[in-house]
Amino acid sequence: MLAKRLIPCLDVKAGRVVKGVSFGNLVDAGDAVGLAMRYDAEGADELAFLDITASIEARGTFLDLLTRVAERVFIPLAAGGGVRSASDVGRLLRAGADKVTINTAAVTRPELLSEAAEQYGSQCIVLAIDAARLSGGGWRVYTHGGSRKTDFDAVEWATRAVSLGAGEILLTSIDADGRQSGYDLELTRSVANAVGVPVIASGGAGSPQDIIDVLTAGGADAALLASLLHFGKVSLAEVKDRMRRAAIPVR
Amino acid sequence: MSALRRSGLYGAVRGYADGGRPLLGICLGMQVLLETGTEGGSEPGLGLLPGEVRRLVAPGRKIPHVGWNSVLYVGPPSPLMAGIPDRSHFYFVHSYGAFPDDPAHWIAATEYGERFAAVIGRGAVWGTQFHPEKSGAAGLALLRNFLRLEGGPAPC
Repeated sequence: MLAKRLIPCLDVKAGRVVKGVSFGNLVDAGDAVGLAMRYDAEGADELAFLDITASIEARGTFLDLLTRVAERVFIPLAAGGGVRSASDVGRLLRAGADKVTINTAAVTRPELLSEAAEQYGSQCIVLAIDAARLSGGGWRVYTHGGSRKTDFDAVEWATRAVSLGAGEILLTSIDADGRQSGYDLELTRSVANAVGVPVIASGGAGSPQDIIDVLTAGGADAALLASLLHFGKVSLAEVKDRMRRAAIPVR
Repeated sequence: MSALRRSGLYGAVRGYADGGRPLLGICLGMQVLLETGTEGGSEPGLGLLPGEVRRLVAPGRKIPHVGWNSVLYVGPPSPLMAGIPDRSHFYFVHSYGAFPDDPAHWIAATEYGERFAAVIGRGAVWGTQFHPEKSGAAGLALLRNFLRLEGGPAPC
């Protein structure tokens, strides 16, 4: 049976993994390659790397990091952060990524998705969506790390992006992110029901039960994990064990 | 297939395979080993193994088939899979499935809406639908087994 996937996400700044202690406060969490190897050994199904350095100069460091990880870790690797063009996608793939996440740039110029998909294949293109609830219902898409609102509806945007060539959707609830009190199940389910590609849920995991919920009631195919793992609260093995006991197919 | 023909590699691959040395096709590489395929329009494959490649039928499920799925042995033990337990998980990402005509060419299968070939083999020609290079320890074991096959490069 096709297993549900657990994907640790590593935010990288100048080659080091950083974790948010509180919003805006970042603490060095160590060498990205070492941490990647550890999560791989602990049962991660894939790994995601987000380059949160703002500068072009740091691009080389991030590419080098991906290459070093790809030389040692043999599970799918997703990479993103500031991807603006099909050439950016190509650079990341050649450095060692299997998939590239695109967020703001796709909202600004949706044709970017078709360009990248045509050149590299939809299976390499993951559209990342940051969304927050609207009081009247529905979810609004935000860009620029969740700071700038758009007038895109999350479900409509996801549907459109898939028709343009996105092979997977990485969906983050801005409301739930970092609070560790559960994913936005309704958001996840709405997008999962609307698109025919896998949906990776992100934002809100505080316990193994939250992950179980988003993979069942939420309809997600995979769960992205950051704070939950980085703070050492829960291990991948524990989460997988709980998933097994909940009869969820797990690798 | 058209890319293989355009690049001139078609002849090279056929020649190599006809020489009986071990050949491993991965994902789309496995699909082109078969006779007929419908991905990208109807196009004959390398014809190294009789069978068909067609779009997966998986009602109610997402296509492409993406993620780790368990692989079930359906034939006699194969040297390609030595030391790899039955029902090990491997990483798949594809929309088309391969269906060899001869049951003897199915080494392992997987299920996603329907059952299709995960590992195939005929003589020294092998194929995996999944990506062994992205399938962790199980995948690395398969690649190591392949490299150790008779007629291949020196053992490592």
